[in-house]
Amino acid sequence: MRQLDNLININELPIPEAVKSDKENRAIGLGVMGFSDTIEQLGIPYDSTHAYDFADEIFEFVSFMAIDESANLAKERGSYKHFKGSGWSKGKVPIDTIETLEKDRGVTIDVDKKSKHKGLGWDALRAKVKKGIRNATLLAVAPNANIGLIAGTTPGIDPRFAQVFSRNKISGKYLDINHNLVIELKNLNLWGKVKDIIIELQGNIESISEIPEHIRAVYKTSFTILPHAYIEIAARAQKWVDQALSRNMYLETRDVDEAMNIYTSAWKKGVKTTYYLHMKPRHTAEQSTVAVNKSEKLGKIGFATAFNQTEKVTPQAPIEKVCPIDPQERLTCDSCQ
Amino acid sequence: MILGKASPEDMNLHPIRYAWAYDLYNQAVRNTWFPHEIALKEDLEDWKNMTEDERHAVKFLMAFFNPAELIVNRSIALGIYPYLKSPECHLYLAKQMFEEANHCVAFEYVLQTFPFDRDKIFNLHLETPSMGAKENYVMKYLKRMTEGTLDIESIEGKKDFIRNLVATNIVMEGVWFYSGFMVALSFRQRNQLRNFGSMINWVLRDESLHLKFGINLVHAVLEENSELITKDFAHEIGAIVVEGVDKEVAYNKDLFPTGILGLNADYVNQYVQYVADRRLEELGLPKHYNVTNPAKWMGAATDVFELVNFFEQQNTNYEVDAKASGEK
Repeated sequence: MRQLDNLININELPIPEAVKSDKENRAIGLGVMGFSDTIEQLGIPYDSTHAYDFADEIFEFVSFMAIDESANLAKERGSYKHFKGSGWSKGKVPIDTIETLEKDRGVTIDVDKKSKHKGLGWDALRAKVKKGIRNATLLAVAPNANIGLIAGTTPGIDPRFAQVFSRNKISGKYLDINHNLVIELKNLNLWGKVKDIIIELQGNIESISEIPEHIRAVYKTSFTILPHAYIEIAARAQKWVDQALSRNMYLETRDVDEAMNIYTSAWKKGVKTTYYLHMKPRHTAEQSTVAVNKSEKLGKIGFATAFNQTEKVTPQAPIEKVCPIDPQERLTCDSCQ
Repeated sequence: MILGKASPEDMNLHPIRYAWAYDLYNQAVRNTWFPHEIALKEDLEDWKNMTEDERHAVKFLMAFFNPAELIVNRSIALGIYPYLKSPECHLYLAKQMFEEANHCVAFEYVLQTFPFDRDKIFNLHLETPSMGAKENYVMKYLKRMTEGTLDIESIEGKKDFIRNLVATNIVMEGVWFYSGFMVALSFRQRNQLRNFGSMINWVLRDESLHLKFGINLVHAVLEENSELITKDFAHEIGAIVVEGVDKEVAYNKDLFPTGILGLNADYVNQYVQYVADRRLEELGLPKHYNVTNPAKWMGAATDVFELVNFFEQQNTNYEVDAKASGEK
């Protein structure tokens, strides 16, 4: 909080209007990243009550601590210029705005309003912020598309796109593999056996029977996680956050009614915004590194009927002919080591 | 019956007898794209910094791809379409022909954007024996497809149909094109010619459906005309594939006389042979080359879902005319 507030003093903004607004409101946006990374390591599936309560708990904690520190900074450095008349000055904190919203809409907000974190003194905090707060707005969840990667974790509150997928960025196209899953599978001596199948199945492990059920339950893909989970996680976080959340959405269904249903429930639960919507691609180019056999999928054997049993060619182990030139490849070439 | 001269009843789409063809048609429609959606000009920056060998590789590629698309277009119109009775197959082929036309226009766009000497590029095929050899191989089937008429009721006519289909769809589209794609995508792998790479991505997406159709068609024909399935014919088809692949191998040696960063002729040729083995297996024939895929990086390029940073790169996964409810 201290760092972010200091930044306001250091920032060089391009136009006077921006300078004025920044100075007078001291708006910052403390958030959270690595949500999926964390719950994976804790063995919690994204679309579970446990995950919803967990999100609720951590956001309440972050929110409380951030507000508390901003109030401390106000004692030290003064409140932001437009503090008087604000919700803070009336002793309100973000969760109190649900009531306002309900009155406004004339309907109840369909979210669990109870606290999942038993130890936070909100009433004391309300009294504290009434006396002053440093930043007009303090919390948000950013997309973290880049900084999440730099930090080596999952962006914001996003799920895993898939257990293996490629990222297409200005710096190139990279394979992104879920290291948590790799560790889990290596511990079971499974990684070597299943890594090719995982690519063939485009990063979805739900049908790989060699992988234990409890691991498959945790390591889902963005398209196999129930869409309503995205809304619920966002709703629980939104309770505690004064600004908005970057809530990326992922849909497999093409059904308009179903999509409407999901977005309407976001509104009903008091979520302020959603971010990009990724639709699951229906067709991608033919896979090149896995042994895709279209005729097998068709259940047809074509010319194979012509060859009788005695002529059947015994499959030989493929000959690894050429050592790769590509430095990237050489790193994974066993005979080059 | 899938093979035969179309009669008036065949103009009725329903009842659909070959669902795979109709599904492929719908998917192909959803994959529609237009060349000028790609901002090719941005790649000129990379072109400036590429070596002569690298530029040579791209020019060589273009010399082949541009006319090749029109060749396939004609071959479908004259050598495949007239011999199919199934209306759902006609639908798909109509879309495939549009796609070949679209690819031709896309490559025209490439030729206009980069500082290529068109005449020089097109004359490459006259000057380079290996390119001429590839042409002669495919011309053999093309002549039959575009100038002759098959007696599609006879066994020999049906065999010719399969020979033609294998040479143009399985070999040309299914092996030769893939070799070209790999070279094109290898530039994107080194973060060069990214927009050209996006365009190739779209072309590759189309071609993988063309191949799916071709394989399905071969199987459907064999299923309905089981008298075609003899050891001799099977070996002959295998030999057609191998001959085409060997022509490609020679061509690649001219494409990379000295190799470029991350690629050389041997590397590409091993990939070509790997792909050829897959095609053979898909037809129910034994593998011939028995090699592994040397280009594991193709996994990132084509095998997995892609998460695109909208601000930084082109997303090539959009669909058009996606019917909303119910349909998967």
